[in-house]
Amino acid sequence: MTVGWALLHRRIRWAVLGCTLGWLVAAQASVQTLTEAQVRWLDDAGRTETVTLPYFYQADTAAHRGVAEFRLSFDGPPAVDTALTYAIALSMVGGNASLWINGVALERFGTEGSVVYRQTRVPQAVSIPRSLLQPHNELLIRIEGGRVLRGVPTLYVGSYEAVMPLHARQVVGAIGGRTASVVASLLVALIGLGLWWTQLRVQPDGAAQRERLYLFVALAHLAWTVRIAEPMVESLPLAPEWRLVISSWSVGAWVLFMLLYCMDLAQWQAGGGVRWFKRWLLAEFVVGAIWAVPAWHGYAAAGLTAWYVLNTAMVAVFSLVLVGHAWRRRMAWSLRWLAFAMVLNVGAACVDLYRTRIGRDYSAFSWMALSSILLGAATIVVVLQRFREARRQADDLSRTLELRVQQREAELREAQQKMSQLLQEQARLAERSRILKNMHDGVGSHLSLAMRQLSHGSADTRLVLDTLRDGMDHLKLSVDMVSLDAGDVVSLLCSLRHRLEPRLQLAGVRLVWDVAAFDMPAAWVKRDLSHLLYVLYELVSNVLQHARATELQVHCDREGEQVRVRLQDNGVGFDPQGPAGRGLLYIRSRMTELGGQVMWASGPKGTVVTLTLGD
Amino acid sequence: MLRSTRYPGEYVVWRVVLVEDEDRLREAWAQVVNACDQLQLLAALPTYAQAAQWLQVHGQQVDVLLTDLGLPDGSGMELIRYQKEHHPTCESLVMSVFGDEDSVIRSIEAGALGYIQKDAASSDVAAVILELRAGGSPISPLIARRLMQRFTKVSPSVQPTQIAAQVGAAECGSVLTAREIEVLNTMARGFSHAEVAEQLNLSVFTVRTYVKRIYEKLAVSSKTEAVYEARRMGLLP
Repeated sequence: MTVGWALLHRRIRWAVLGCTLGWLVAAQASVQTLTEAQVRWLDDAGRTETVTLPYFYQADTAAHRGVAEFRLSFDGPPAVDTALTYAIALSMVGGNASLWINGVALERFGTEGSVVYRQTRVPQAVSIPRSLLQPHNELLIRIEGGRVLRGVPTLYVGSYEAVMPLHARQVVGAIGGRTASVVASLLVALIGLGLWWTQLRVQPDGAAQRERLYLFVALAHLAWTVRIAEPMVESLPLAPEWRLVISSWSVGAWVLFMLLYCMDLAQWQAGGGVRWFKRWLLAEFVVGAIWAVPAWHGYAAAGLTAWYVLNTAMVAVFSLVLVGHAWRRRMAWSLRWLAFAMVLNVGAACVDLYRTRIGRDYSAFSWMALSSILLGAATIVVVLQRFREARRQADDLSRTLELRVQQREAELREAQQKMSQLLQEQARLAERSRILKNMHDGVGSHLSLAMRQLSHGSADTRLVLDTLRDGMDHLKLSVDMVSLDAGDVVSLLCSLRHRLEPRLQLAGVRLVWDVAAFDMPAAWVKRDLSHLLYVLYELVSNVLQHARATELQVHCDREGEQVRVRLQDNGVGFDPQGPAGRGLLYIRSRMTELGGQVMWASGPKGTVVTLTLGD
Repeated sequence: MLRSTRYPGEYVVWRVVLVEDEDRLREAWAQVVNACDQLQLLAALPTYAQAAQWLQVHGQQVDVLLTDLGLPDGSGMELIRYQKEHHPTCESLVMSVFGDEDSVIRSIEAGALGYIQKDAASSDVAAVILELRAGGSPISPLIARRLMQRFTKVSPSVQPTQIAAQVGAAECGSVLTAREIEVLNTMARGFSHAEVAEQLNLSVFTVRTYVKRIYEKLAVSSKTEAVYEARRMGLLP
C-alpha cells in the first residue's frame, strides 16, 4: 500500500511540472517581439531602408516630413495555439497612422487628412481576428506626414490573452506614473493657491500682503500639471504648432516659478545678481514660448532643443548651488530635502532628454514624471511647514497681544482704582472742609459769641441763651444736611422750617409756607447746597433779629431750568449801608459761589429777597 | 387731662422711667417729670446695666420709658426692644441731641414711638410724653421723607413728590394705607401738622395718630424683615 502511494505521488509531481512547462513554453511562443521594419519613404522617391525599432523621427530630419510605410513580418499562430484572437501592443503611435494586416485595414489612429494635431504617449492595443492571420503575415503601418513626432515603437504580437497583460503594463508605466504626477502636482498647486489667497501678512504700515512664495509654488505646479498631462490628451482643438508651444511654455513656466520659489525660500532676495538672474529667467520663459512656433514649422528647430538643454543645465546648476547653500547654512531639513529633490528631478530630466533626443526612445514612460512626485511632496512639506510656522507666529502674536491687552486692562483697572481713591479722598477732604467751615460759621461762631457775652459779666442770660440756641439750631441744620441728598432744595427748606419755626413762633412771626412740589433741574441734582443753607439761615435770622415782622412768607417754585426761593416779610426793612446790608453782600458772594443770584428789595413795609438757582 | 379708668375720680398718671448717663440732664429731666401731675417718675438710672436689671424686676409697672441711646455700657435701643417684647403696653421715647432721622428711625424700628430732643424746653418734655400716651407721635419732614422711601423701597434720591406719583396706593396698601401715604407725603413737603390736617380735612390729633400708627408699622415691618433675613441666611429655623 505504501509503495502505491509513493508511485502516485511521483506521477502527480511530474504531471504538474509538465503542465507548467508546457504553459510557459506556450506563453513564450505566443508573443512575438517585432524590432525590425522595412521603411519606404513615400516623400523621398520611395527610398527604402531597414530600421530597428523603436524608430522615431521629427521635423528636424529634413527628409522625413511626409508619409512613410513601415512593413513588418511575423509568423502566424502555431497549430497548437487555439486562441481565437490575436493582438498587437504598441507603446505609442506617433502621428496620424493606419494599420494594415495582410492588406486588410485594421485600425486608424487619428483622422486622415485632419489638421488636428495628434500625438499621444498612450499605449495602444489592436485586436486581429484569427481569420486574418496566415502562417506568415505582413504588418503595414502607414504614417501620414506633417510636423509631428512620428515613428513606430517596438511591437508585440501574440494571442490576446498573452498580449493584453503586456499592454496593461505599458499603460501603467505610461499613464499610471503620469496620472499620479498630475494629481500630485494639481494638489500642490491648489494648496499653494489656497494658501496664497488666504494667508495675509500685515505689514508695519497696516497693509495686508499675500505671500508670493505660495503663488510661485502654485503656478510652478500648475505648469507642471500641464506638462505632464499634455501627452495623455489625444487631440486638442488647437492649431498643431500650439501643442508644441504649450509643451515648451509649461516647461519654461515651471523653471521660472520653481526657481523663484526656491530663491524666496532660501531668502536670496537682495543683491543685483539675483535681480539679473530673475530677469534672465523671465526672458528665457518668453523666448521658449515664442520659439516653439517657428520650430514647429522647421525653422531653427535645433534652437528649441538647445533651449531645453539650456533650461536643464540651468536648473541643474541652480539645484546644486541650492543644495550646497542649504547644507552650508544648515537650513531646515525640509528645505534640504527640497533641494535634493530638485537635483533628482534634474537628473530624471537629463535621462528623459537623452532617451528622447539622443536615444530616440519615445516610449511613454518618463522618469521625470516619477521624480516630480517626490519634488511635489518635498515642496508641499516645505509649504506646509512654512504655513505652520506662520500660524505659530500668528498665534504667538495673538497671545502676546492678548497678554498686552490684559496687562493694559490691569493697568487701567489699577489707574481707575487710584482715580477712584483719589476722588473719594477728594470728596472726603471737600466734605471735611465743608463741615469745618459750617462749624466755624455756625456753632463755632455762636459759642465764641456766647462766651464773649458771658465774659462781660453783665450779659443778659436770655441773650446768651438765644445765642446758644442759635448755634444749636445751626448745628442741627448742619446735621440734617449730612443726610440730605445733594441738590435737594425742597428738603433743605423743610428742614429749615422744622428747626426754626419754633423760634419764629416764639418771636410772634407767622410762617406762610408756599413750597411747590417739583423735580430739581438736572444741573442742580448732586449739587452741594451748604452755601444755600447758610444763606437761608442768615435771611431767617435777619427776620428774627432785625425785621420786627409779624409774617414771613416762604415761596419756592421752578421755572424751566431755574429754581426760585423768595422770602418776604412785612417788617420795617433794612438799611443797605447798615449791618444787614453788609450781611447781604456776604450772601451775594455765597450765592455767586453756588452758581446762583440774589436780588432784594427793602422798604418800610417789608423786605423781599429772591434767590435764583440756575441760569 | 385723662381720667383714670382704674380709679374713677382720679386722673391717669403715667409712670415714667428715665435712663440718662449725663447727671445734670438726668436730674433736670427728673425734676420736669416730677413737676408734672400726670407723670410719676419711677426711676432715673444712669447706666444700661442698672436699667436692664431694674426693668427685669419692675418692667411691668412702666408706662413710659425715656432713654438715651448712647449709654456708657450699652445702647438704649436694647432697653426699648426689651420693653417692647416683654411689656408691650409700655411706650418708649428716645432722647436725641439732634433729632436726626438716622437715630430716630433706628429707634422706631426697635420699638420707640417718638423722640424728644435733649435741648427741648421743660414744658415740651412733659407735653411730648403726655401727647404720646394720648396717641400722637412727633415727626419731622425729613423723617417723613425717609419713611416714605422706607415703606415704598424706592431710591433715597427719589423726591417724595415723585414717590406718590410712581407708587400706587395698592403697592403700599399692604403696609401703609393710602391715607397714611398722603399724610406722610404732605409732611415730607414741610407742612405742619395743622396744615396737613387742613389740607386733608383731618384734625391735628388724627394726624398725630396716623404718625404713631406708621411708627408701629415700621417696628413690625423691621422685625418681620429681620426674621425673614435671618431665616434666609439660615440663622433661624
